[in-house]
Amino acid sequence: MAATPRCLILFGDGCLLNETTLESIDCPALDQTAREGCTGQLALRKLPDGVTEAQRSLLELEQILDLESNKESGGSSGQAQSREGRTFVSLNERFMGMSASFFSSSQSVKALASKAGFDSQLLTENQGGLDAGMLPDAASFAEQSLTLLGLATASERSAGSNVFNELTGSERGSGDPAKSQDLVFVHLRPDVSEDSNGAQPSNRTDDAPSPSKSDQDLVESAKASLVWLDALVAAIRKLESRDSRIAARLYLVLVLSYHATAVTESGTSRESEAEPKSDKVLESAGAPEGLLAFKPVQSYQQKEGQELTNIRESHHALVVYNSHGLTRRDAVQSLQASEITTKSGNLTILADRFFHEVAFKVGRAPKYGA
Amino acid sequence: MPSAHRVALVLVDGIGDLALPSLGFRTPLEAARLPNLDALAAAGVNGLMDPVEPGLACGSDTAHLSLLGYNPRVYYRGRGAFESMGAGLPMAPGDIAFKSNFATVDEESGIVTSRRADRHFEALGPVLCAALDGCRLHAFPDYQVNVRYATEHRCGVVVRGPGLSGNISGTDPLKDNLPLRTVEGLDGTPEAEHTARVVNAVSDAFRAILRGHPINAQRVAEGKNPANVVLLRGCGIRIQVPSLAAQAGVVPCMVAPTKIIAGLGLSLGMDILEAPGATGDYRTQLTSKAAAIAAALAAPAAPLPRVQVPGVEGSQPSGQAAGYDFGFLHIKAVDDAGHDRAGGLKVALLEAVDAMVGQLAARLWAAQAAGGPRYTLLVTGDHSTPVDYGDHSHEPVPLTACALADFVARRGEARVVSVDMAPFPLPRAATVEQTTSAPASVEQEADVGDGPPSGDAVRTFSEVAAARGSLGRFPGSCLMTLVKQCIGETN
Repeated sequence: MAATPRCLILFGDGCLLNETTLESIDCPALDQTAREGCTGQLALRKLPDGVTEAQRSLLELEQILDLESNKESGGSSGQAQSREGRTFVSLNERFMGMSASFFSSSQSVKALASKAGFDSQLLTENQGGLDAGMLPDAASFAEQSLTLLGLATASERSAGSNVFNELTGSERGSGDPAKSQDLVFVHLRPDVSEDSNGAQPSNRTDDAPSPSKSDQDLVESAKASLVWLDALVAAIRKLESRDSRIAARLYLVLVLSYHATAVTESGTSRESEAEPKSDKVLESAGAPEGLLAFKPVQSYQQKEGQELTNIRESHHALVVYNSHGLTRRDAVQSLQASEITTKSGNLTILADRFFHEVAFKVGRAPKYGA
Repeated sequence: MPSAHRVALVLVDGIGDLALPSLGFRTPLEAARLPNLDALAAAGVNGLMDPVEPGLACGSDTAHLSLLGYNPRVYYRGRGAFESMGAGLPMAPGDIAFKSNFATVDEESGIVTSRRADRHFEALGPVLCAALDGCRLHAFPDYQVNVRYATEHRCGVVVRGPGLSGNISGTDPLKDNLPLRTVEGLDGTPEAEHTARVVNAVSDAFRAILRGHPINAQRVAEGKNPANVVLLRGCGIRIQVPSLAAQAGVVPCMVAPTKIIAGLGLSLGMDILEAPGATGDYRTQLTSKAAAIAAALAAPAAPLPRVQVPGVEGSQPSGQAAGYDFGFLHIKAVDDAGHDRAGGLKVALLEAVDAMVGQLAARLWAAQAAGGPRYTLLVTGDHSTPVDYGDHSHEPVPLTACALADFVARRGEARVVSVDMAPFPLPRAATVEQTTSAPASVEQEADVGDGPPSGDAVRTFSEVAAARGSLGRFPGSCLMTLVKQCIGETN
């Protein structure tokens, strides 16, 4: 590998309203990303009763960034800190000097990302919901993302994009490879209605609670989010076709998670369905009894060697890893939940391990051992 | 006593890879022609294995510890002891060891002028090692020092005594013309600080002996660099763990010419079998490895291979008259091809491993058919070493486990027993053309055999195919449980 890869993570948080959401939306660029990459799932914890979408989002992002393991010990009184008051070891310390940008459609998620050590910004000023008109221009955003990663130089048009104003005014957006980011994380949550009772940081003052979205509004917002992500990836592919150095270094990762209603409404019944593995093992005359019956604990059911008991067995987040020569290629042909659950090459890992994978790919995690 | 059910585990170092553009976006496993490994996968059970945990790019040492059932987060203490034991230095739990060089230091300034006193030291090195071996530390009379010559300018140094720590720095400045370093504790513990003082005393004692040695007086008279210092680096402590036999309830043996793997096996109390011609690199003799493991697993019906004992010259008779029930066969060359970024060579080496697996299966089948034990074959790796990356990565590795009888039924007994048992050289980089052929073809699958299917739905051996196996994706800590299930020991 000539140069260290740079990573662009696109997270459609709560974009999946059910298992067939993706089947009703035409996303050719995302399909191609899945077809030419390696897919899998990220296992998440069971949700507490009565959890809101905003709370689910924060709980699951903490897992995806593995923040729970990296809480800083604090509080001179020795009392446990409130959820909002927690601080975390910074990305820079955790991952060998990693520098990363975070764009989110949610104020509370943006605040969490800042605490985790990202340079974070809002993706859109609007906090009531998402549609195509409220999101940044995909082509400009693609160009600017690659500029932040040191893989492109922003044109005059994209440099003027509102969402990047703050960063382009700093060294990060200069296009100078020496000052570029290792990683850009784009977080897009269609249901941005925040819940003032729950998971927001206490210092939040600038976005008042919004009314819950109607089912139809939510469907439209989810569709708009996925279509925007598709347009963003299509724009990246276009830039890649003009400059082969982008494809040689870009590590593109797409994560799609389920909306809280999808998990809580069907969670219990689906878990009982998911428990027995469907893999058929044919009997043989020669095999030891224990061989065919062997069902090892799965990697996603453990953390640091300790078995976890609170992992949900359905509604894992879907994940696609795509890079020229940096990933495997599995048999998945399009971005469909049903394809990924039956044909993925990566199977399921614990969400907490996801960011460690990414950090290693961008050269910010060491080898473990000799 | 070994079980009537026995397991041969073929561990292909660095087996996993990524979709290589040069191979039409296939992995080397997908591109290689692997009739034996495919037949094992088709007749057995399969899965993806994370050597330790997803997202960790493991070294061979941490990965092997995990696979053999020892949590590296608890037991890993660096590679120094594994390397020293693998090189033949005896170590007890708690001993520390170093990789060491005979070097030249300017006595007045303390500058290391040459980190290698002489590359051609085969005649003098053993004499100087004998002079240093057993040297006394006046300030630390409870500590024992042993020195053994290795190769060229290198030797192994082991320190034994109470309360030693492996978390210390070394004396080696790592470049010429820099000062000899003072050893320091690295973790702030009293043990590390104490150990640093002991090792600095070792370094001083060595210098005192070497300074007055007639060999150095003669070298100075001849205008050569004196070998007046031993640089100490890569400290590691021998881990204190229950033996694999005690922990897993198996009678284990290993073929691993690679020093760090052999030393790790010795640390776990495994017998290291002699396999003539096995080198742990591109020159290795795979047929010899297969023969050694097959004989150990067929004993007492077959003569037992001899074993290596640290601190004892030459090989020794095995003490396991009834044979072994768990044979671990390590192959290094595939990992080397990954590090050397040689995709075509990695494909060819995997095909060579496949041929060796055919020879191993034939030998074991002969023993089983003659009324011997029932065998199960396992094939997996310790980590991925993608050739386009050139180092270890975190991607999981495929694992297949198959009863030998099912493999023979699938592959066809006539094919199994007629395999060419002659030794063969490994392919060389210069003669391997980059493989860019079409995706896995029908004829490639056809020569796997046409016996009845068994096991899970997987039909070929690769990283992607293994994901469809009944074992799912599991941590390496489960591997010995699988081995015990096959052997029949479930305690």
